[in-house]
Amino acid sequence: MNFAYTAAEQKAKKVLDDCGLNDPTEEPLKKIIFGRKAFYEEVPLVGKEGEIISVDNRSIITINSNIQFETKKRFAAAHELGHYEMHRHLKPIFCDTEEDLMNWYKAGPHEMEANEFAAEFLMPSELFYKECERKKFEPKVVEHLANRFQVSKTAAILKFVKRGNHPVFIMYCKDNKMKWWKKSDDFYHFCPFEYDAPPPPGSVAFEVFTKGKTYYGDESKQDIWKSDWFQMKNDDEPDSKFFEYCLHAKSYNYTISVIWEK
Amino acid sequence: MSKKTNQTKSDFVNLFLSTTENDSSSKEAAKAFLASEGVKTDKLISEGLKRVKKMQMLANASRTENEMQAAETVKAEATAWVDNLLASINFSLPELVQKEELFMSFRNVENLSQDDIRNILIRHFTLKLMNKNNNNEK
Repeated sequence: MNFAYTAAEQKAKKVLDDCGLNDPTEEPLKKIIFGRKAFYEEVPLVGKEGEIISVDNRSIITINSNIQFETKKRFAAAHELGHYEMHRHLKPIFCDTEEDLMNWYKAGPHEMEANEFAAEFLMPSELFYKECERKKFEPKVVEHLANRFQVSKTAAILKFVKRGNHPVFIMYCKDNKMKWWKKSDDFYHFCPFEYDAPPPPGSVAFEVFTKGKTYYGDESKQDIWKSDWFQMKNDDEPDSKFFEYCLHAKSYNYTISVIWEK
Repeated sequence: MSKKTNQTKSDFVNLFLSTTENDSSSKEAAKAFLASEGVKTDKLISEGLKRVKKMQMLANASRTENEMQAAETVKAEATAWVDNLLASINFSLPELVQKEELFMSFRNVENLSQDDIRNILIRHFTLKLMNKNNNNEK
């Protein structure tokens, strides 16, 4: 596959190459960070997932040791590594909250770049595509990708939108409000998105927030109608079946809905 | 009649080299020979380079980790210095931020909690002291 890479993604590829790594899971991320000559520590942080402080050519990357999941810690560390590789000469301090790691588009260009870097560094596009090749998209694929690259399902889903093998649409909602969406280049349906509006009543995300219902295992893929999320082309268009896989992060009360055509 | 010869060591080496196979005396011929035997030389070279880069990265990792562990005394020094600074009556955070150029992306240091400010200053001054010590050693 010939992918078009952003500058941050190219940087991630170069760092992997400079480290002599084909696959980032070959070595612990902590070791890779030390290998790039940055200091690394895990200590309790309040209201932050990670932080980087730089003075001249030295930097300390600090990751919140209270982050419950290793996969999430890994993403935060790769995000800080991105700041180290790309921005340490621009700003001496980056403090990153959960919001910065999740709200790719609102947190500013540096945060977006650090997220792009982290995603490419942890899930190199070519390896990622090979892992999904010849697999029919379903929640199990996301689980497989998350395990394979030691990342959260959320990170795997976000990568899938860009580098996966099936057109999907994702919607991020927090506290029953739609915050942002992303879609594969070849997903052609239009979602009438309204920032901070609740997700549509027919959606699984709505069910999660209003009824506290979360689907697991074989039930995680739910049947929905196209009209639940998307605008119909005209009044004559018959409604069609879609799927929604809604991931609920209870501790942060956010959902990521992956929606695709049946 | 004497059969004594005047051949030197280099004559012998030259004689030896002249009899070696042409395949190993030229880089291109050697490559072609190895390819004909099914050896992918480009792949071998790139894998070898990768291995060297990885070894360098791992060596850097050990060095940096040791350096960080050795910096504990510097950190203690920075901590004491920051605690004194914060306890000083004349201390002004905005002034320190300007002086040390402690600018944050999208946030102001002044808006952080007291603990956060202390920890950031400790890290900042630890690095600064390490750089200073490093320059003095040079």
